Amino acid sequence: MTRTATRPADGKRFNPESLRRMFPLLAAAGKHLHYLDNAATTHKPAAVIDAIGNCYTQRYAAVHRGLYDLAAAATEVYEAARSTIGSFLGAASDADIIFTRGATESINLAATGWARNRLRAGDEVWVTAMEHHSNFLPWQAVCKASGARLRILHCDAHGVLQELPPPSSRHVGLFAITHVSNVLGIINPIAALIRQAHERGIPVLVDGAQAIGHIPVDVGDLGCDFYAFSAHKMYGPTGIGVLYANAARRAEMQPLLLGGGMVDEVGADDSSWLPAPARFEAGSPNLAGAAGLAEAARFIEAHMPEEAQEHVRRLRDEAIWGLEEIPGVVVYGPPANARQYAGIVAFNVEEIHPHDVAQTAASAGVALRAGHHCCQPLMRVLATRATLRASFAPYNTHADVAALLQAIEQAIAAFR
Amino acid sequence: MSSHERNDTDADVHTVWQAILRDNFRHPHNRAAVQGMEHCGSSRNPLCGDHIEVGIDEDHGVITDVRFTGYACSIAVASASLMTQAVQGSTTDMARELADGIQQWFSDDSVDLPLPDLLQPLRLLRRQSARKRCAMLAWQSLAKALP
Repeated sequence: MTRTATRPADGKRFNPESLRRMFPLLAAAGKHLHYLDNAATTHKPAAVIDAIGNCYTQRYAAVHRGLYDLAAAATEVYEAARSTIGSFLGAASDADIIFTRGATESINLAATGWARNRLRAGDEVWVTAMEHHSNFLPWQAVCKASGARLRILHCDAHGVLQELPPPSSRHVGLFAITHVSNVLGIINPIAALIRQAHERGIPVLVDGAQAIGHIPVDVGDLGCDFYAFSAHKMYGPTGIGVLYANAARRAEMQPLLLGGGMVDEVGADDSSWLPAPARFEAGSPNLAGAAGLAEAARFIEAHMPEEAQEHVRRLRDEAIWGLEEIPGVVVYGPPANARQYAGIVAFNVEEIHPHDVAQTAASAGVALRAGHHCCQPLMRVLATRATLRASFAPYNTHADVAALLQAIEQAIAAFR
Repeated sequence: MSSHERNDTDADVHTVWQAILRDNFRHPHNRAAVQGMEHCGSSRNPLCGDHIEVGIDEDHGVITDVRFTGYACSIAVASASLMTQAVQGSTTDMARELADGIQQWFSDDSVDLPLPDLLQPLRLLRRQSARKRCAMLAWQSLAKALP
């Protein structure tokens, strides 16, 4: 699992200021940047940046291809990264860890490589109304291609899901659900949902993009069939992510990409593939990305203890309390103090367009997101077109929350 | 880059432009329903879901009425309000030339365009790369609406 120590590695109490100093960009920006767009992407600690640099300066060559020492060292870096991520996630086997370009590609691999050939006309695929477009569109597409029906399970305006639909005669090919909503921040009760789905023989894919590195994840405990995430939202580099696929699903999945590195034997008429995970990783692997991702996992284990998650929850609560005191501000979703929510707050200022608020905030150094957050189905549930979103990481501080609240007051003064 | 953008009196000019934009956002001209108008066109900014619809009535190639409606941010609304004032009473050919020219001018920094006085404040918006699409929305809709 993503083991989180009760104390940082140096044994001292968790201190967001010391953590922030480990992130060169944040340290350099100092008080001029209040970075509250962590649900979009997180910043990178020096350890991750160095791991990527060291890969290129010390252990860089072709992976799985060369016979010389340097190539062997590069292969070792790549496979060690897989192993690090396997134990970080609690996977039964390193072969469960398939490197992709990110969560989007991971979900597309499961949709096109696994679901598409298995779905039949009349089957159902379940998603929820709070899915990011990347855990919605691939399923919409495979349903169209196979004649299956995409069923959207509704949630209320707090993000709380209704119960699973009652059993019917329709075969349900897959249930795809996000672990944590990228808009409302709700942590879905996926352990229970996976159990209920499995009791009915329904495989489950979990979109873990907002969860991994922010809340504990153990795919072994969860028992999910697939778990998808990106490195860049967990303090790692862009351009790499993971599809965890358990042994049973992996055996049923076809590769999306064909080419070098995944081949067993190529004949004129037919070819065969290497076993997983290589068969799903055609092309030259992202060695430096894998090195950075593995270092990010180690960094989280060493420096982001349970206390760090508590700190993020406090920032979120503080932001919600502060925002609710400003007349005309509507906070979506979670009540403060609710433990089933991660560090994400969606809100709006009445009669002021979210872009205008975000731009005012930007000029005060507060980095917010405004828009539909790639969640148009959820925007319809919330009866809005767009929202503002502040998302916190353990390196954020109370000063960031204060700057956020002040920026909202400034926007109201400027636009009302 | 225009002479305006190099001028030492930039700050004064910018204050005036900013005031014009604010005024056009707070009290937009020609923001009204477009149902039933002769020609309508709408555009959407896929990044944020904002949209603006433009309606035009014409008489022998002359625009007699132009309106806009939709859900959009201050920059898109201010730009739309200025747009309607700029093309009201012009020929549809001139309006098309302006709509195409402005879109090109927003998309390509190397393009210079002699702007009528009314539209000078758009120069402020052109510099905000993150908001160019907002500013262009009304002009895209105008291009679609024109017969």
